[in-house]
Amino acid sequence: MPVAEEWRVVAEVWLRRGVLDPQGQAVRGALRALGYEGVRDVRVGKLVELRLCAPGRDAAEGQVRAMCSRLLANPVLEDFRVAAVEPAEDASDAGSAGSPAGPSAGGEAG
Amino acid sequence: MSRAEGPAPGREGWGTPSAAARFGVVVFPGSNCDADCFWALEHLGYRVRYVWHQDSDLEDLDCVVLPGGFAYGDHLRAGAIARFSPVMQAVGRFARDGGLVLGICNGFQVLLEAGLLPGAMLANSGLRFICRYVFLRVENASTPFTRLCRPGQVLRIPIAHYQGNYYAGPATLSELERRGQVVLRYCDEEGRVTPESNPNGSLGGIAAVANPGFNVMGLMPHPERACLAELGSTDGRLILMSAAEEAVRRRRAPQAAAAAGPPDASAGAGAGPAGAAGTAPPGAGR
Repeated sequence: MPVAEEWRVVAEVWLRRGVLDPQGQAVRGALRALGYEGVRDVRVGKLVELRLCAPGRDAAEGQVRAMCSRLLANPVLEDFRVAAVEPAEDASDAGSAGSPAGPSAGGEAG
Repeated sequence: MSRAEGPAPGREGWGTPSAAARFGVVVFPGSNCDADCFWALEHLGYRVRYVWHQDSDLEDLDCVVLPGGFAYGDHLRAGAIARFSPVMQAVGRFARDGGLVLGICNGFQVLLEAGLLPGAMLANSGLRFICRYVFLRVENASTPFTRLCRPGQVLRIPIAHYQGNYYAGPATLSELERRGQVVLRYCDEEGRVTPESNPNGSLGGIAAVANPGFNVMGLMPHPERACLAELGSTDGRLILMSAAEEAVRRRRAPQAAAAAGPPDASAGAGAGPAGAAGTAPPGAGR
């Protein structure tokens, strides 16, 4: 029996292409007003980071895909993508660990 | 507003012969129009009780109302989490057995997430919460929830929402239109459906849709807030009273109602391809 390991999985949820994204439109307008006239399109999605126990990478990803289908995304107007599956760092180091672009822990405090 | 004991002034003039109709108003954590719905139905003379979100006994009811609010905080998406509550499993069975289900505002969003109605809601095109009266054109006056309206009648009922921008894929949308499942549309005072009369960007100006069996309807406007002349309109009564009359009619002729399917004769009863809604098992495609 494989021992359950802890995984960090990141899922992205996007409005489907062709579905009007009012939030993206508003952000695009604001960016253009700031002078970024080259901005053609902006889409705002959601990023869901999970830590879960599963007996392997494929199992972890499979579980998160099922979660996306059942709850995290609405298939009528949203698509999802599993963007990362990696062994979770120690819980004591939770948070930005393992995410290269993450904010530095305990950095700017006010 | 006075909270007088006993029957409210004018109550005796409200009701219909359908006083025996039995309504249940679901209470989710975060519902905030439950008391308004209860009040309006009670003052119309009907029997009403609250249904807690952990309950699943709806046996005694003719019509279940999912009220407005922010069920489970509207986290993730409006209605996304409420959908998994025990009461919604029961509402699914109730609907499949032909019971009347009316979702108002957040209740409409819950029905969409639960797959009991087709489509989904986006944020309003203007990205603002809108709270004001709108005009609505009755597109199908033969549903259980509009049977007291005239076809094309213009109703004045308030909306109050941030996510009322109805969306459905092209195939679903044309099916809805073809079968008369678009029940109400935003319009101007004269009943014209124009871009200016559309408050939230909703596809086709859609304000209310029904399932293929027409026993489940969701609408973004709040009929319970338009039941008293002093509050600005009584048009909302037509929706609630229609449901009550239909409930009593069905109780008198249960077989007929069960076999009738869509009350609109033009919409052929029986198995339709219209995705989701009504006959689909829980969790099946929305």
